Amino acid sequence: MTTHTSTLADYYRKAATNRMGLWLFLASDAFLFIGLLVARFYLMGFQTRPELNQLVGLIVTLVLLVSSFFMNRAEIAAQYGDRKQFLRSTLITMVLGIIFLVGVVGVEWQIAPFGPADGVAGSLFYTMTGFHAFHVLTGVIFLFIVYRNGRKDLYTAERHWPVEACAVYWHFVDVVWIFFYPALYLIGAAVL
Amino acid sequence: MEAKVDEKMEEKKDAFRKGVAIIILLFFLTLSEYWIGVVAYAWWTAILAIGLLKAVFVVRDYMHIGRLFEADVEEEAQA
Repeated sequence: MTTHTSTLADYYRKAATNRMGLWLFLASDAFLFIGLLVARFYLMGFQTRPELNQLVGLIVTLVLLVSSFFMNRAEIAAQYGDRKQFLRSTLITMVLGIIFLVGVVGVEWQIAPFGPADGVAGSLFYTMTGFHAFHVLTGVIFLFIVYRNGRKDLYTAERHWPVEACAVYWHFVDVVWIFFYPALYLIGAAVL
Repeated sequence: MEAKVDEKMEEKKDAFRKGVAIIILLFFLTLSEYWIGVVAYAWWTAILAIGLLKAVFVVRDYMHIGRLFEADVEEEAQA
């Protein structure tokens, strides 16, 4: 019978490989969003943008940024073995992610003065926010899994790679919105 | 031993403080981006430059891209 005892050195080596894999996946995922951004500026130029509610745009953007702050806090807490802070911050991140989803899909989609089939602005807006919202939803599910495992005490200060992976993915979703927000809400004059 | 625990606590506090500094910075950059967009939407280069700056802060300080280039993780584990 062979027994496998994973030493901490092995764990870190595997985590380093996993980290590289995660970043490669994110790089490939980024191409999708870059394509959408290129389409937005190619089809609408820098002089026009979809007619959207500015206040909703600003609020959901700030909510997502604050969620990234709490995600970072959760990761640091996990890194230093502070389970209570880790669980609290992960939960807050999850709630903020859900608020973001409600803000975009539940509010902005409902009040937008156009539908997905109403011209270039509508098509771009729903495609860009739809793809992004799907990533946020995936992130919230990932956060829930990490939170649940955290409650079962599965992570330690030395072994918490899933928390780091979740954090990196969540921040990536935030970075995408950092570019989508000005592209959809700020650059150009509003057109229907 | 106690000194090591104190050192760890201080490291954690520093990491938390850095996180707070970054979010404050991101908050003000977003407000300035919003202000430019509302007042002078034609300044798209300024808006995109602010967006780029925000992304750099998130990728560097929250996503810790530097960890990809660290070679000493194993040595740390063995220490």
